[in-house]
Amino acid sequence: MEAYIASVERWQVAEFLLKKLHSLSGIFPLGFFLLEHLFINAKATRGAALYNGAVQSIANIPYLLMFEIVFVALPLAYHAAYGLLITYRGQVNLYRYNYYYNWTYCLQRLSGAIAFIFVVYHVYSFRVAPAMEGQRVTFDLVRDQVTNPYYLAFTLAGTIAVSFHFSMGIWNFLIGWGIAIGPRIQRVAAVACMASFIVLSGLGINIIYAFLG
Amino acid sequence: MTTRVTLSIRRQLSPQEKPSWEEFEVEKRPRMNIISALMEIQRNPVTKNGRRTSPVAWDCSCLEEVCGACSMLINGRVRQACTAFVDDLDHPVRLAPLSKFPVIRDLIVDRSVMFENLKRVKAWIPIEGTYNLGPGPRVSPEVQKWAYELSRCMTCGCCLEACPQVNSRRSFMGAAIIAQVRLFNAHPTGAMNKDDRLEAISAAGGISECANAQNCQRVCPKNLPLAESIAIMNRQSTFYLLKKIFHF
Repeated sequence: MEAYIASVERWQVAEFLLKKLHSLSGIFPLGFFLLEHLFINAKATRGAALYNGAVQSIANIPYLLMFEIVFVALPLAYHAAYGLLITYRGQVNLYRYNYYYNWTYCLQRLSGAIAFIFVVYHVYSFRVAPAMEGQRVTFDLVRDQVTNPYYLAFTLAGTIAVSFHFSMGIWNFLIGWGIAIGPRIQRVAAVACMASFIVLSGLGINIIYAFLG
Repeated sequence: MTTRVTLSIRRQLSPQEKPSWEEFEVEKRPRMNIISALMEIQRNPVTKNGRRTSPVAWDCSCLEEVCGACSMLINGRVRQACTAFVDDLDHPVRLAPLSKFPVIRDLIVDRSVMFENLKRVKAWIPIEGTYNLGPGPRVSPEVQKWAYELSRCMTCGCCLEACPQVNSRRSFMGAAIIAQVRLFNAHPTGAMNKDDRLEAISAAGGISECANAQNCQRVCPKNLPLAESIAIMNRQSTFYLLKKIFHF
């Protein structure tokens, strides 16, 4: 780890830019992809046929793999790796300084770590593994997975973590890029981001249960 | 009625020595603050169980919360000892040196890293010339209002102590330094060195280390608008970055 940190230190000049890109990549393309992903999967609430059709229409996109690599895989790998580095560099002090934004600071790191584990497994089980086995992702395949109570709990935890991380990430982005300046707008933004967290996790949970019928 | 107050103090006689805790008991006087309790111990350095020990060392100067010298951890939280009244605290009172700075002895720490960082960001206004430059430009009352607030920073280190991003793994310059950049960048003469300061806070350990926990603002004894100042400097440094990219 220390050797890795040392090699990162050599990037000192670029670090400011790397941190800015980390923040930006969480909104675009990753946040946009998350919304698109939820939108497509929400079709599961209208039955297996519509869902399978939506999956098929994505599979038919020309140059799909290139889009997946450039707009999802690479930004995700970068966001995750740099995010873990940022988490390693922080130090929790909630027990002494029990404040609202200190809680969101800690939860942002915790949700990021949970999201990381979830997304790795999620991408493996619904993209990499079916592709290698020449299998098609269908409503039934998803249903078979979420019928397992452990996997269901894992998916619910992952969905809630991703929703929180993205929503609070918007708040951090607004401040980090110097958009939300004053204390009142920062508070308004925090409330709006919490509302986004509730809506997105509610939507995610609803979609997961749609597969269970 | 005499009541006694117990103070548990983290002792460390040299920077190399391993720290240990010692308990003291002093007679409580009306309006006693932590400094006067420490003076009591200095007069008679005997622990609660009667053992003679070295007097406890601490730092203080103004005794009215404007110099920042007596910052320490009082019951685990960072604040100035001069405005910490014994009556208002939970007992026994635990005193420890700031944890984010190297300890010199007992409650005295070396906060010179803050001074070094103020130098790094050029937190001053250059007025020296080979001839008389005349009076400087006027500052509007609107700017004066918040600039005065920021000028009250006493480099006490509370914001660094409470910041989760300042720790042994990482050296973040902290909210105080960034707020001073905002102050000097807003001054009409200081603005001439604006880019130098933005360059300094855009380096490693600079503003991008901030992760918006905003503990700094909550613990600042001067109630400085630190979160707002960091957000403004985020904006200035973002524009500075864009300027650098598109002039590359």
